[in-house]
Amino acid sequence: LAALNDQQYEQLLAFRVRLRRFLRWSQEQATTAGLTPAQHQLLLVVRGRPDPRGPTIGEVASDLLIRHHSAVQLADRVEALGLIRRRRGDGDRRVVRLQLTRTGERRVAALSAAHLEEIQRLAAAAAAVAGPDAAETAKRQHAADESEPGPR
Amino acid sequence: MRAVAQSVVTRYSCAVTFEQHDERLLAFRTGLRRFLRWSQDQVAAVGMTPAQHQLLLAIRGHPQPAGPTIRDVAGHLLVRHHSAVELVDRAVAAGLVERRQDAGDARAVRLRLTAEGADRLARLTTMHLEELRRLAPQLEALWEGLDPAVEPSGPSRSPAGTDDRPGQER
Repeated sequence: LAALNDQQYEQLLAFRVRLRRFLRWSQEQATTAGLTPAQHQLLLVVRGRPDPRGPTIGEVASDLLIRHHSAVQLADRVEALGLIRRRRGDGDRRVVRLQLTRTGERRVAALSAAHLEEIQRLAAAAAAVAGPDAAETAKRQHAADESEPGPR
Repeated sequence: MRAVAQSVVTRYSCAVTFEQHDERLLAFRTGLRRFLRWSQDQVAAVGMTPAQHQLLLAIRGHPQPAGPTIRDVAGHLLVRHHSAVELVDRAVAAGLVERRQDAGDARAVRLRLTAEGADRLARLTTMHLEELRRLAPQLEALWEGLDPAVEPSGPSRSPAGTDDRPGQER
């Protein structure tokens, strides 16, 4: 096990603090827009999935790391709010896909605009932890491991 | 479909960019969710809760060598003072953390890791740094080739606040 230095702990802490602040802030943005954080994330899946036909419930569950039946219930609530609608697939009638309504579209667009800035800052913070220094350390470590075979 | 969208980029760059942004926002959030789920699983595997793990990191990652106070820890974890006290109590009982009187100020209590706490945190930290080395380039790549990236600094609406749920990140 490679010895860790103080700076690595400090950077990792700084990243996790930032991540907590971001998630808290995001929840507040969703709440201000009249949505629960889960509803906001569902709208983002419907908007962000590249397939223009919209995601299936299975895809929603996979992106949100929730169970299928939880995704169904979440979709029910968001549909009742008039933000999405269910469409039967053209190719396969058994597959239901989710699409945004006009209102849902507007709602998610407003939230996304605010999130872009914050998310780019967070990506930069993640890069700082894993950044050039970390990459160099890892490379040196790797080289050292190769030159001195033995248990890590 | 995509090709059509690309061809109107110059005229309607704003709309197209927002569509691309939404794909990237989703990829980013999904990446974060997977990272946090992965982290929870690793922490559970060494017999700790996510809140305990974050407490240990808040103690070890605190820049002052004397160790943080409860107040410092509450700030790092975004939890209320009394929640931090309860979390520390449980970690002390679990043999992961110890309280020490501040050498300079007898009223102040500083937190330190026990050898056991330090050992478990070191194992978790090594794994987390590796995982972040995998994740960070993916997150950064999401922004490559994207339009006028927002200035990375700029304090306008930086997220901040306090929370009452230790370590609850999702």
